[in-house]
Amino acid sequence: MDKLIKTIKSQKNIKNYRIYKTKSKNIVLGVKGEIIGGPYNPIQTSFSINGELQIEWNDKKISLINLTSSSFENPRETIKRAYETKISDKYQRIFIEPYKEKLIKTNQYSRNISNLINNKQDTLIQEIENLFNYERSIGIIKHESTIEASETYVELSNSKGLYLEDNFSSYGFASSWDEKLFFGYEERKSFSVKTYLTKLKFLAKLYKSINQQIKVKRFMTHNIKVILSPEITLDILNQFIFENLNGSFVANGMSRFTKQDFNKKKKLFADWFTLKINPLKVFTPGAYNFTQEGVLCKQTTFIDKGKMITPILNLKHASILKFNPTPTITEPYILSFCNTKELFDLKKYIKSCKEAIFVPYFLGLHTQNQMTGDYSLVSPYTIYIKDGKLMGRFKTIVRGNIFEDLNKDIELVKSETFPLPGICYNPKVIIE
Amino acid sequence: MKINKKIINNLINIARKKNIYVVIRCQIKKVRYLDVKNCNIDRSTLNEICGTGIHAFTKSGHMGFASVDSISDKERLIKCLSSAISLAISTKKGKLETLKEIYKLKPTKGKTIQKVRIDPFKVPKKNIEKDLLNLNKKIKNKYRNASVTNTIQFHSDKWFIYRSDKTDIEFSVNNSTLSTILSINTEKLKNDLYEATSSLGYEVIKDKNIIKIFLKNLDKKFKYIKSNNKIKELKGGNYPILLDGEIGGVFIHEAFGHTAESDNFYSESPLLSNGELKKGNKIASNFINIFDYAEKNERAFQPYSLYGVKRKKAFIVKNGKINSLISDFITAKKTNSTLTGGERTGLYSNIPVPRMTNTKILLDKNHTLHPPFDTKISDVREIHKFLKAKNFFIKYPVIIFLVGSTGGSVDPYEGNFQFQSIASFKLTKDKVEILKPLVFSGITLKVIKSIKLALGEPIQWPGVCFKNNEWIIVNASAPMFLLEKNKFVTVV
Repeated sequence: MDKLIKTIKSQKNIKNYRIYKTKSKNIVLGVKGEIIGGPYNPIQTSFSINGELQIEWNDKKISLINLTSSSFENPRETIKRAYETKISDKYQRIFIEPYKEKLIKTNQYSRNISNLINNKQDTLIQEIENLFNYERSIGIIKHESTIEASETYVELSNSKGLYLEDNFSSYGFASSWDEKLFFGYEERKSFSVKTYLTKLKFLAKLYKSINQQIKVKRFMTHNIKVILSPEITLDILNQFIFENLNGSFVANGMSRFTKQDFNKKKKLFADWFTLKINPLKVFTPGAYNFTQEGVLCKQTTFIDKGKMITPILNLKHASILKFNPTPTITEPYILSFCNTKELFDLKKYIKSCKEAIFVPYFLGLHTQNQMTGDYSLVSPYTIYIKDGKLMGRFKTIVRGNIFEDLNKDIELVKSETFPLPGICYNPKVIIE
Repeated sequence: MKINKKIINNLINIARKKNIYVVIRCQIKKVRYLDVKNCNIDRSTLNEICGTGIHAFTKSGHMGFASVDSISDKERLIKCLSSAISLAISTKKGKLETLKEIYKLKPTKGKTIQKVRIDPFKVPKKNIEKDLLNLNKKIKNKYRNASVTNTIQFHSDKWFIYRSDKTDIEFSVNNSTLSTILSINTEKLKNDLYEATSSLGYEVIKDKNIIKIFLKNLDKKFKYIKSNNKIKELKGGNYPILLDGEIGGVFIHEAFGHTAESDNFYSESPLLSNGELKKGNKIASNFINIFDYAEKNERAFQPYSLYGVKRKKAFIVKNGKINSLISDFITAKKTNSTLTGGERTGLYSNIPVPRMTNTKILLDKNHTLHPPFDTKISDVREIHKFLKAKNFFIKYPVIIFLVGSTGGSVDPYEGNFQFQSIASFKLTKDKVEILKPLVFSGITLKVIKSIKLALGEPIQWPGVCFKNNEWIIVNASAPMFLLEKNKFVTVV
């Protein structure tokens, strides 16, 4: 038995406990500029043990502390540290009973990743070289890429007898082309980067266009169709929607959404907007079986046809708001935000546009006000589209209010390089 | 948790026998965190993180890096060293980049402890709870319709750096941050604001002067966001802009600090030409100086780089001319810049890169006006009155005044930047109009030419900075300053 659990069990002043423990190992290699594995991105591995300890003391007070490997090595110190931070929190005093039915495990682990981490460093070097050579062939000068393989073992136990464990693996890469275009890809098992490169053809076309600056009249306010890249669409949802769905924010009046919005299933968005996750997808990045509190995951809808269904809730905030706890949103691979609307192919969609702009990314999205939803965002590398052709780039500022935008009809475009679509709509655009 | 020098020496010896040069970096970090929401303690934690990062270099300069979350477990540390060595050897086989500059560093020994007035880790927990609850109640009573969150965080960070050349460095730094989030969600108004203050120790909540300024600024911003319902939109364009010290500090950090980091050698920066520093190029008026350095009593103090190089002041812009980068031993020579020992990271498991500490802009005294009020806490109407009395509106009939900042972003490649204000005003001779909070954007090197004068003393912006997938503690210092109308600077 774990030294920490043994020591906790020997303490007379502890009523209940929960320990969540992860053991992770990874290997990373990067490219910066024109250098593979240079001083800022050397080939590197790390091994770490992390976790969380929750204790209910006999006086009903609660402690919740983070764990590292030294916490497991020095259990008495750890318990002392937990005791020192105990607080009164009646909503945090929840410890899940063992499940009667057996947990159906979704497969999220591939042994060949372990092999890659421990013995196949040369493969990793070869793979990043493949990506680098492809990027060089399409004219990229300032590369910035990383490739990473990782494996994690997760274990959860509590004083009620609940015991859950799982294994995850992950392999993927992320890249930036001259800090103008970004993309990434991830799987639970190893794959060949070469097979993925065919998907980058259209991105390469966009890149070519980004490098041609076009002259335009400044400060014109346009009513022009705006196509947001799928990546930036997710960032926008993250900044304005996921943050406001945070159960702690809703429970404490720090969210734009109120408890009543969910109780009354208030319709705040257009019919096409349905935000849901499926964390039980087999071999899918971001998928997982149980939360670190021991809540079993299931498919969850947060917003259904524009109606507010539930915030993202841990046990504490589920108890405060009197809803069921939910899984959290981890990665785009388990997420969808529209399930009925037609998805247009990005390439074909651009060809069909008489006049439009494509926004690959915004500067400073994180600085925008989540509560008001107002945004005024600079896109230094906006691509201008005329009669279906990519004409070149200029700088724009896109303005609007996200809560109004998502309450209107929009169109959705799917690219080969991202699991979620991008949105096309008509906000105000200022050419800077 | 203590460093065991015997184990460290053993690791260095094992490496030496294999002809490997090592840099061993150990960290012991303590963080105490307390969060109070609407008069209830919501979260209290005390975390201790420790770990070791090992860089291994072959004679040819091929390198590998490995980390482990222990500073004293001999077996795991030896395993970590073996991983680093085997990775360095694999990069030699793979013919990857080498770094021979490591062999040119001079051995260094040193120990620096940043002292605190009141050590927060010695203050009883119940006192911290009481003090933060009292502050939260005070704020909640004042803004009854708002949800009020107060957070206090204390950091103590100890670093130990050892190299095969007998370098032996130890330093410890501290930081305390107190913050408030006010959120209003009513039918009529939905908005929120964030205010933070900082010091090295527990005085962040005990010093009456710190709290007084903190509450005054909170109150000022609250008044502004409350009137955001009556706001007007500004047609985007080029205007003279007055930046308060907070958004000015964020601007200096983002637009100049980031472009001055020498790892831009591998990408691009407006301060470089073909990878070399454009030293001596005039980019601003003679009275402008920008530099990065945190004194021993300041937030983000870093006496040594995490490779063990003594940190020096990086004078980025001196008398209006490009002068230096925030550089590390890897790129200082390549960029033709002075070595400033700028490598930082927040965690032992990450690779240190050139990063800011406390970035400051100073205008000489002939270009600084001193209003008869404290610009740290002054209200827009006081400022308007002062500008009017000094006949500013004859030369600048319209001035856009930007207050506070929720942050910003810069693309160091071409120098495009964006900053979001918390409140914005249109100042004319007879009127102060509140505007929808504006974004201030432009191109780094073009904007600095427009800085004409400063108002009052610099204020401190206790920030955090994201780079290389991690947040670290930084600071910026700037007075209120005026930018003349410039076609490369837009407010919208």
